[in-house]
Amino acid sequence: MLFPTGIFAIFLAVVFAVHWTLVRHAPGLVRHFLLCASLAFYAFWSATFCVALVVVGLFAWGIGLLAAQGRGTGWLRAGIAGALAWLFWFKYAGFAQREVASALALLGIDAPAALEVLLPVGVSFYVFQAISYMVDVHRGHADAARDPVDVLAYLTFFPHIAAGPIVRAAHFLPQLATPPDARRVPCAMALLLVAGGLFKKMVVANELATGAVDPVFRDPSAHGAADVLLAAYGYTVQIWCDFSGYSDMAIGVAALLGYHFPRNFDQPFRATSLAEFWRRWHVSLSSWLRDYLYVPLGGNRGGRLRTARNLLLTMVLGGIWHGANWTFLCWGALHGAALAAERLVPGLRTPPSSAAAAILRWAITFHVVVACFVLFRAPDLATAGAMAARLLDWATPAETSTIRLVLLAGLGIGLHFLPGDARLRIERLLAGLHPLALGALAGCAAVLVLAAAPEGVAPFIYFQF
Amino acid sequence: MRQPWLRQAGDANGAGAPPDDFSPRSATIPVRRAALALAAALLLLAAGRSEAILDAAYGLPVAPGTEAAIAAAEAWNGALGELGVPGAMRRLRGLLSTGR
Repeated sequence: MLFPTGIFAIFLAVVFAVHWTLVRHAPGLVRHFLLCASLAFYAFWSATFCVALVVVGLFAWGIGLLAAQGRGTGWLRAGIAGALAWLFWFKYAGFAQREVASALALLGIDAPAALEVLLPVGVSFYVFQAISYMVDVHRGHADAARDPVDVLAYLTFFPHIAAGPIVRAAHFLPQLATPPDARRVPCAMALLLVAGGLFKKMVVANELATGAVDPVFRDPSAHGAADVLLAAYGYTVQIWCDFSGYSDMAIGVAALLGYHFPRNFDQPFRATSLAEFWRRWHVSLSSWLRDYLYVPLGGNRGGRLRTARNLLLTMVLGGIWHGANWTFLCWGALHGAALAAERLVPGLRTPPSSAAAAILRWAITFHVVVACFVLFRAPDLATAGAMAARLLDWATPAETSTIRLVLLAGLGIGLHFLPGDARLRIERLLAGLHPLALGALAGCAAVLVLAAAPEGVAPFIYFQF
Repeated sequence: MRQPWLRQAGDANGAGAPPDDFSPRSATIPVRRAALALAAALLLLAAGRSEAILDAAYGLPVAPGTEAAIAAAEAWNGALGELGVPGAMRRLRGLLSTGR
């Protein structure tokens, strides 16, 4: 079930009505209802994987109970290993077998046919949240849940199950423990986030994908430099609009039900350094990697070279978290190397001294990000190489580059330079409206967005991760 | 009972996280008024998408209730058709696809 569909609108209306009725009349059943609704939401993709999701949740709950009893770190290590083994099986087993088969083929040895493992939607997200639960309980940041329903409701909560944001156990479990206040629903903010997310996903991301990005990445050799450039910039804007649009909708839907998710994107393309970019991009993942991987590895303690190693390792693991492909590994390694270089090169850690220096740093940062996203989007390294090679071909006429697509890509970048509090200002204007007027505005905005969008609803990019 | 955005909730992603969407300044309303807003939004959405709803109803698998769903979708689209909504939506869609 995708957010921008009629079936989800019906689902949300029913969940909204039942949830708030339970909050008022039977608050003890709210968590049970959220769990049932979330499992029903997930079952639209696969009932089998729904059972698997529950198994992971019960596993994390059990480890949490053992970790809370202070029995050393053995159970925690076992829990993390178990969760990562689950992730590895679904995401990397087929890849590993294919790579081994390729190596054996070079030696003239026949290997058995590669496994075709179906990837459950959101597996990377719920596994990371399961790890967050176990570690937070071990560290004492969250109380171990006595009732497995709490952990299951946390892991499966439908706004974030498919593609995040990754919500920490220490942040979400206390919200489940105390039912939300029915007198205080941040309705204007929620509807604004949902409508804005819908626009980013349906209009900008979907049109750039079908018009500028997919045709070029499918066959770079058929396109010239202008098309390749638009595809590279277009994909950078597409993935931001797709993913931040999903995050905005998730945050808005959760807010309508009275739950808080942290912000996941903060105008990332206005960053003037890679370090700043990662403080603004997919914040829930980058901060997860920082707190659960980079810091335990030693962080920036132990000298410059050790810091650089930790950065590189964290980003490579962050890259392959996205999937089993050399392109993701290279994407993470490039980001890690660039982050390490920023720390090692004198002068790059201080703020730019002039406007010209700030613009130069922004341009360099942005283009490193764009180049890395070409690797991220390419199905293999050969395609990424072909994209780079076609940048020299200015003789082939542009086929996909239309003014509309260029304007959409420009709009996606331009949105980053709006004042940081622009949404808050609009929210304040909307907050004074009568609820019927507010709803009518939101409905009209959604109708306009869907009228401007290409036909159909493409899946969100991060559903595959 | 509390909602976390009524206090500063900027540490949800740990130290140094970006500013949150929620703050104590976020405007809130009682859930009944929120339900009214949501109902109005969904009603307008259903009006603007009446043809898509009808298409979706025609695509439903044969099962108990499908006939009723199709009849309801036809009635809804027919009522809006008398107001000229589907035609206006088609023209709007054509206008917004200029340059595609």
